[in-house]
Amino acid sequence: MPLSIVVLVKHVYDEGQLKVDAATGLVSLQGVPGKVSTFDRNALEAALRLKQKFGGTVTTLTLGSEEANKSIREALAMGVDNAFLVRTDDLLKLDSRQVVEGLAGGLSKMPKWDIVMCAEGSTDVYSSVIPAMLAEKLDVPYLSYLRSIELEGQTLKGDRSLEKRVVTVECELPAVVSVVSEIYEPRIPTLLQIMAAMKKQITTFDFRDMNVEGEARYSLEGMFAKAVDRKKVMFEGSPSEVASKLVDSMAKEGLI
Amino acid sequence: MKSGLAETKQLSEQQRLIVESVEELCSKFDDRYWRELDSKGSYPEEFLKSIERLGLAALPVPEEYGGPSLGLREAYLVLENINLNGGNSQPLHGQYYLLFNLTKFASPTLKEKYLTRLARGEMRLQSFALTEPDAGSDTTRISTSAKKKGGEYEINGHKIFISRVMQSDLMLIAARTTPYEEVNKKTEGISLFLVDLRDAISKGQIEAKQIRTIFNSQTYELYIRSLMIPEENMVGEEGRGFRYLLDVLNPERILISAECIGDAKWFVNKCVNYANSRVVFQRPIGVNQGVQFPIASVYSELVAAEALSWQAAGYYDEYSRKGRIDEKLMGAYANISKYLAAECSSKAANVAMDIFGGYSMTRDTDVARKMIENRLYRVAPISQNLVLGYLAHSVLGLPKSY
Repeated sequence: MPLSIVVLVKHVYDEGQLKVDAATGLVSLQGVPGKVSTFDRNALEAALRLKQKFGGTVTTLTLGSEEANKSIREALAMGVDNAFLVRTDDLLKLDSRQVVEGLAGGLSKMPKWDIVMCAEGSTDVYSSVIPAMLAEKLDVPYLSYLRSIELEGQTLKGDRSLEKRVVTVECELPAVVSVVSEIYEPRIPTLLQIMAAMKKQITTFDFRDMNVEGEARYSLEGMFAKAVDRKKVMFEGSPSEVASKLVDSMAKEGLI
Repeated sequence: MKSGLAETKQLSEQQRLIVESVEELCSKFDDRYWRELDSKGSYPEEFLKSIERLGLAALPVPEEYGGPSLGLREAYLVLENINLNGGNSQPLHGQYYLLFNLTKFASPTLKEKYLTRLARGEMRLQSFALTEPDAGSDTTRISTSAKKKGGEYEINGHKIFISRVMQSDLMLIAARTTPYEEVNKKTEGISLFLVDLRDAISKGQIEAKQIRTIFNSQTYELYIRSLMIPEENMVGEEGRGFRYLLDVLNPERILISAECIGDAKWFVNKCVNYANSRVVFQRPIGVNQGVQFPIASVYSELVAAEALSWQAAGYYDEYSRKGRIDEKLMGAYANISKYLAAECSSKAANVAMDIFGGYSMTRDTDVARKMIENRLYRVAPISQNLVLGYLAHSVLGLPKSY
């Protein structure tokens, strides 16, 4: 049975180019370019590998503004077949429930799917709650933080990284899955794939047609940079003495 | 853009994706990779293999032969971004301008024979044998001869500064099918041939002696003795090679500009980062106008040179597709682009050498490596003075000095 996989792709502000006002600590988004949420590319790679093995299609679903087409086009260049955008210019004003309902609304208008593949979190807010809430909303199982994926018939299996151990989990399809970034290194689009991506269609829905009811229950008041004071510890002595002092100090801080 | 410098060119969506692929590839081949190659004098084999896997080496190959059929602007972006990310795109520029040439002038038989394999990245066309010890920039004076013998041409001669002969599968060679003394116009009588290098070297018809250079390059002196080329491997018509050469040289100059622009941006980025972080007298050296102004000045020159060379690449793409290139305008565009880009990148290199102070002399900053790599473009593929001579004569109508 060919698989139908939907990957959630988010267009985020490039965190490497955020500007912080030194006096107030406020993060300004003015003029900060967008990019695809880095971890989504690992999820795309996981989906594309499943497709290579079992056949089928990989589709992306995005909630965001027209600007998100840039990230969607990147996903298409990696080898994604179809793309859907639920369009809203107010992504930052939506709370997680509204995001999930918007995504579920999009999924209901898309062809039947077997797996919704997500990244471990987005590189901007990294709340990591969307996949779990979406699975609940869709009433399907959720396998989280997988670092490997296998499929046997309708059974999806994978290893899930916990702090000190790895557990193997499985469920029946359809399901929502989130993968950690270590799962696979994302592929670089080839020139011919890039050209093919330019010819693929992106289907757009309006967020207002997704029947998301009610207001946001929380709102974003502002973004502040977290000031981290560096310890600036200096070690003195011969290189071998300094090395052991460094290792001792790092062990004391629980870093190693 | 990862470089930190704003993109001043208006890129299409497709061009942006190409740049992103190149940037991502380059992130896997960091400064350490290029530094190590440089210290060993090795060809960037692994990098080139990745370039080929992504189909970037086949960029100009037409669609009917399985290629992407992209233009000079896309080639420009690939080269610029390799250099801007600390690499050296030299091996690739050869392949690009030779593919543009083959696509334009080779017979359908010749295209069928090689372009499909070049499109798949199974072969390399990175070598161009034009320069001779006694001809230099005066191309019409080449004496390598090609004489027809049945269905083949026999080539004999001596070439110098021929790059990547041992790393490439194919080489384009220029030879005289009619000697200089017997032609009416000195530009007549030159023909171009495609050489299967592996075959020719194994038969001893080409002897390649590597020339030691001060930067990482693979360049050779060639002794060509009774090199037999099937007549179907002639590119275009016999005796019209000079005309085809011009078509190689103009895009080559624009591609060299792209490399220089990439280098210049690398130097400017390097300078800005260093000037912001290097603290002397309890403040970053970047607060001093003596440090700021040279960087800002060369940056403004690079933006201007970039604008012109990008326009030149656009002109080539638009008018070569229509088959209506104004050779004079193209020549002016290509030469001025190369001149300005080489001027500003070598100036940027010097600025970086000054700003890095003693550290510029260390290998680990890569400044000296990039400076030497870039220095080549003041003298090759054409010297700055020869460009000025050409502009003075051909564009401004002053008496010819050469």
